Amino acid sequence: MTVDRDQLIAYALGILPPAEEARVQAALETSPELRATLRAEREVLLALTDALPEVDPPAGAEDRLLARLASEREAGTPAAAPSPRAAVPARSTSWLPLAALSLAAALALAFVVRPPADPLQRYVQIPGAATQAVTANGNTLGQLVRMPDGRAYLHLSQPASTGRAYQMWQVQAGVPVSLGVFEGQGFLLAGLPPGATIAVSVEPPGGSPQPTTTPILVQTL
Amino acid sequence: MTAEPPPAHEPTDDALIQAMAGGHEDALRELHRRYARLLYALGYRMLRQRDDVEACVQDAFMNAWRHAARFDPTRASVKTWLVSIAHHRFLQELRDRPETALELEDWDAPVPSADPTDRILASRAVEGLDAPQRQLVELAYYRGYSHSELATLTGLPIGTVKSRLRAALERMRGVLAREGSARGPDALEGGERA
Repeated sequence: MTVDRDQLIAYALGILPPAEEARVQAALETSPELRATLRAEREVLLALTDALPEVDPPAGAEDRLLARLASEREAGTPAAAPSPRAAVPARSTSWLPLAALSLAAALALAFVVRPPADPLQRYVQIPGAATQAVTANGNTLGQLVRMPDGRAYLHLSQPASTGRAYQMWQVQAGVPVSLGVFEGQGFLLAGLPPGATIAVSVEPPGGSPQPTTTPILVQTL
Repeated sequence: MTAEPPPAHEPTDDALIQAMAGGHEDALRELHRRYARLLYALGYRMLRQRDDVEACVQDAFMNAWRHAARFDPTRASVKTWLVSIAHHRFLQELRDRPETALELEDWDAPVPSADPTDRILASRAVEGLDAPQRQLVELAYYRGYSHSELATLTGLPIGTVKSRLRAALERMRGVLAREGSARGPDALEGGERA
């Protein structure tokens, strides 16, 4: 797959939707150039942390960390025990077969601890949120989550077909006004008045100034 | 940025990771001593409340411990790797919290670093951004807002959000490269003690 610069920056920022993040991750594993670019982006982003005034850890934090480590090692928690590979002298040529794995380890430890960020579940779990199925022509297309603060999140069950993207519109006096292109299958709606009418159409990547296809759904909020 | 290499008798960051991979707990303690202040700073900035930060920082160090054997210094410096781990853990914590309203009007830019020696390069890179660029980068990095959420927050088209993020990183890169080269080659290593 092709990963563009914007996707890579978003990956480095940790703001990609999970499916897109997985695609970038897969591309990274096969492209040294992409990995080099990611490293460069992360080194720039490091300035955002470096620019913060340092903060002393709470008293005893170091001891508590070591106590936790000791506790997990004593309990034999597999994740807490260094892998047998730890005994292998690092950077020897015998590492070469592991090269493909090391990317996932080095870059992607971040990926390992990344939230299973399912936006739909996050919004569904908001206290007071109401979820309803969105249907068209008798078929369920997805779910609409209405949140107590007036926002709404639309999640479509199926991704757009290859080379296409979903685009959100607000229909004002019969005229569609673009609200943007979906990231993946979800779209967060905010700042729309109650009773606003939205529509979703399938468009080329990046969206269109006006809908070029018949909306797959029209919904009143 | 900490550009100074450790004294000759102190292990490099890479050596600490290798020692951690070999099960040496003292190496984890030393890594904590070197970078905990940085990770706590990031945690307090992102989570804005102190209660959860220590647990997340601990998780980050524990994950570094667990994966030390597979750390590859060609892919990232130890510092960048550790900050990335912690950053994602803080994002996870943010996303696991009960949802709060999208914020913009109450967004406050971080207080610039007060340390004029070690961190001036990073501060200059961040302060070199214009206000809209900085706001966007900080909302993305510290708060984890996606492109579409940033578009909603700012009222900008998604394409503009992306181009501003891109331009912001280019500008930061320019400052880091220009001033880093003036300070010597170590200044661009992200503080890596290699």
